[in-house]
Amino acid sequence: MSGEDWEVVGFTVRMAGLSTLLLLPPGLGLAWWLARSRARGKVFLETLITLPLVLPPVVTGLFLLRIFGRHGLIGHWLYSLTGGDVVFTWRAVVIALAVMSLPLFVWTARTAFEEVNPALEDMARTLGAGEWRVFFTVSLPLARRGVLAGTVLALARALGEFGATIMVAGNIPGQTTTMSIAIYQYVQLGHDAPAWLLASISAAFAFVAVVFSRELLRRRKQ
Amino acid sequence: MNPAVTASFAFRFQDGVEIRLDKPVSCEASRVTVLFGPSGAGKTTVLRCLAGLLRPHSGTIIFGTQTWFDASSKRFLPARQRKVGFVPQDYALFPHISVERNLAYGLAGWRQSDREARIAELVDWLGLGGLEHRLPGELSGGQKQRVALGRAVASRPSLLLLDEPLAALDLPTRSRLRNELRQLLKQVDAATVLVTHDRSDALALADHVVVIDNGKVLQQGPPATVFDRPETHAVAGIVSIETIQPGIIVESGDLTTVTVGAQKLVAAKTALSPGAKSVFVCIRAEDVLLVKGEPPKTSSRNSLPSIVRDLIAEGPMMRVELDCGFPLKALLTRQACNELGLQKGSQLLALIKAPNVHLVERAWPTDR
Repeated sequence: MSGEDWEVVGFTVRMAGLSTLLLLPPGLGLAWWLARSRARGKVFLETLITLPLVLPPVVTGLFLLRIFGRHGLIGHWLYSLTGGDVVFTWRAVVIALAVMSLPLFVWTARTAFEEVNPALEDMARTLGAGEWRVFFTVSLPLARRGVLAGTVLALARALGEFGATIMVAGNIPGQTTTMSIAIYQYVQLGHDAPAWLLASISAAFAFVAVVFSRELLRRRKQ
Repeated sequence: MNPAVTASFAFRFQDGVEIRLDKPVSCEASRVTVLFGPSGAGKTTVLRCLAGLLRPHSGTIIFGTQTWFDASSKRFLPARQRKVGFVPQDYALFPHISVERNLAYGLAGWRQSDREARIAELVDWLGLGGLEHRLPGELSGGQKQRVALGRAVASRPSLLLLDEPLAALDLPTRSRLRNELRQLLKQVDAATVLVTHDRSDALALADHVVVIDNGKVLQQGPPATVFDRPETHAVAGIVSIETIQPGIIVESGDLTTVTVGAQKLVAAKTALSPGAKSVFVCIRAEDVLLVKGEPPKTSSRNSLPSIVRDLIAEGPMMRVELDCGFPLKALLTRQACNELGLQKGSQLLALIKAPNVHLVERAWPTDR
């Protein structure tokens, strides 16, 4: 495998890691809120978060392209703030990966939060704890396995993302090319050997992630 | 001296079921108010409203000079700011942290040296030495109860709420821990509100009993009054029709001798704490046997000369209210009543076997 291929692997791992870190704070908040809230807007938000799981990734990518483009809702604001573009840069890669793996994380973590006995959270409140303390000392520690499993699944999803990434970030060698995109390109050009090498690395990541998260979820049930 | 809590409110569930504390219920410092009633009566809901975990729809909860809840001014102090000591039914110990850290949870704002001293004090008081670093999953039922109590009183709250504190325990442990809990509650300088559906718990622990059913307050007063003189049929049904009289233990060996007024009764050995003096004597009406004429030779330890005061028909049964120096209730079939020729004023002997005389230690030996 060439040095360039290794760079692609390294870049993909960095982007996936970064996107997972980025989705954790809002993801935890959403999972917690969906597990405990009885608000009416819940179904709407739930659907919105789940959409990327069901929509063709290319369509999600198209939406993101629109929103984060220089004239888009968020892109416009970011441009006036930083003077730089988001789309077709590594930042777009991170955003695409985060949006695509968010539903997987939220669904797993939410189930874990739902399994925490609300009486324990109430108990903490009567002992003088505010909502932040309740979350960090009771809910999160008790849901930790599920949250960790969700994180691993999100990371695995991010490592393999293709459709949304290529829409918002394109395929700029050394700048936005991820593993999946590189594999696609190699096959298009008829270079089967490096395509298979990258594919096996990708499969290894996925295998480890699934085994790890399964183990976490299984032990939680005991 | 800590202030008293006074509450009167209504809480409505989403399905329309309403729990009403329609008569004001109050509890003073260092006293125990017991909310007594069958399961599903709404007792836990009342407790959760007092703790600030549920918000009632109307009424008020006043604690000393503080208003915790007032529907008319929309004032509601959340649980976090009330800082009551709460012991829920399953204890709700934090399963992921040690006994020590469970005890310390409510002491977050304390200086570390103060916190350590307080925990050492609690461990010593509750006899939890050596268990500080265990997880709650590794404790027995009684140990869990003590940790839950310790955690609730750690920050010295002025209101302590206990939800069925003995329900999770098996029967032998239960009577032992009832006495233990009584001793512990005596040492807590807080107003205590305790929920139970168990009559022995109520008798042993209460200074004041509030009978609740179908989300309503049916009667309240000192335990002896409520249990022995229920004001309504509904209350009588809940507390059942037993004879309950205060008594004093005068002799204890294999059998225990207890005086009720001028009468002496013999009871079989029961789980009383050593040195117990003041008790409630409980006798079920169906355990009282009535004999007329010459006193027969009998295995019964107690034979009390009695006068019939009243006869009340209850279906095929007849409730006989007797006076044997104290009011005693017996339950007979109507047929037996007729054969004995019972009427008001009849004189006879009431026989009660020693094991059927139940003794429950009184909450507070001195009548306060």
